[in-house]
Amino acid sequence: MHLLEVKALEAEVLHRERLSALGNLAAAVAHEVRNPLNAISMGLQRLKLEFQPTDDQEDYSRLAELMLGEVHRLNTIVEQFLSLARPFEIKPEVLPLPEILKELAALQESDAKRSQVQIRIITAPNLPPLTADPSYFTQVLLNLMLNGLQAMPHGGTLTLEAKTSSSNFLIAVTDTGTGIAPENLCAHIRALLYDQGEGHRAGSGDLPQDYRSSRRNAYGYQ
Amino acid sequence: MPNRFHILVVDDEPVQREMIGGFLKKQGFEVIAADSAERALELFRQDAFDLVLTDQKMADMSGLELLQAVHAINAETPVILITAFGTIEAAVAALKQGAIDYLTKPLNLMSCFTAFDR
Repeated sequence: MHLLEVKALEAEVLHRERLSALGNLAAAVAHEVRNPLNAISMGLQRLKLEFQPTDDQEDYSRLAELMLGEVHRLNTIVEQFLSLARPFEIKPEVLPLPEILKELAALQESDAKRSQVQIRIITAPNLPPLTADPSYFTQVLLNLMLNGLQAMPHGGTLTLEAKTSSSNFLIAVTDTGTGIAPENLCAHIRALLYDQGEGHRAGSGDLPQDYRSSRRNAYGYQ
Repeated sequence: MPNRFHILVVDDEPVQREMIGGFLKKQGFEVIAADSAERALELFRQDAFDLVLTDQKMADMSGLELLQAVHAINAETPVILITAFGTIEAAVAALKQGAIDYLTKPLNLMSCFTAFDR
């Protein structure tokens, strides 16, 4: 093997080791931050649920709600930090789609029940094997399911449907919520793009430059 | 929800035990708290519990390991795992191993009840 190739391989191994160490550090930080955050959040929820102030009830509730909002904001920052620190590596494998849909439905059962939402799964018979990265694939579906549940706070049906269309898979996550009015669609898409940009800027600020570069290259948005 | 539902809360952090245990007691449940998985197993062998609510990351044993040990004693006891660092794979693995739910921190206290209904 050529000396340059050996050096390139060594550099690659070192880079991967650094990313792995960073991922472990992020997980440890997330754990250490989320535990006290959880205690603060539970304490605030209990203050709201279990105690009645002698006066200024409205102020009391508003302050508790504001502080819970800040806890939620901190937790979102932890989540963004984690998602940036996780090594981005796609490992495709053959997935049992019907089983995955059932598992995701089971994961969301509690939230669905709380909102009186019924989860329905429709899978076409004889689906061909699906090859995808299990982690990212399930994350995408879960995000769509969460969006669907949030769109039906007063009940409805969330349908997960898998079928084939010519040589492609078609996987649909459909809710029976009100949907987005056509005149608001552009505003939603603009907000989404803006949020994504902010998230990357805010989250990547804490990471080493070489890591940020590799992430951007991996996503192809540099 | 029947009263005097007997819950074993397991967490090696005292504040977490106090917060969730205190909340459940005020809601009318009978709560016993254990400060380690080993202690939880001792209590579990001595008494019957309707539910085990355990943290995933503890010093002596993980929540998943505790789930397996609990089910080795009584496979019918529902176990809910709580984690500060949740992934979908871990959640699916927990459900496959017999957990009835997998809650992530920060917890929504009221959502615990929906999990209990399962």
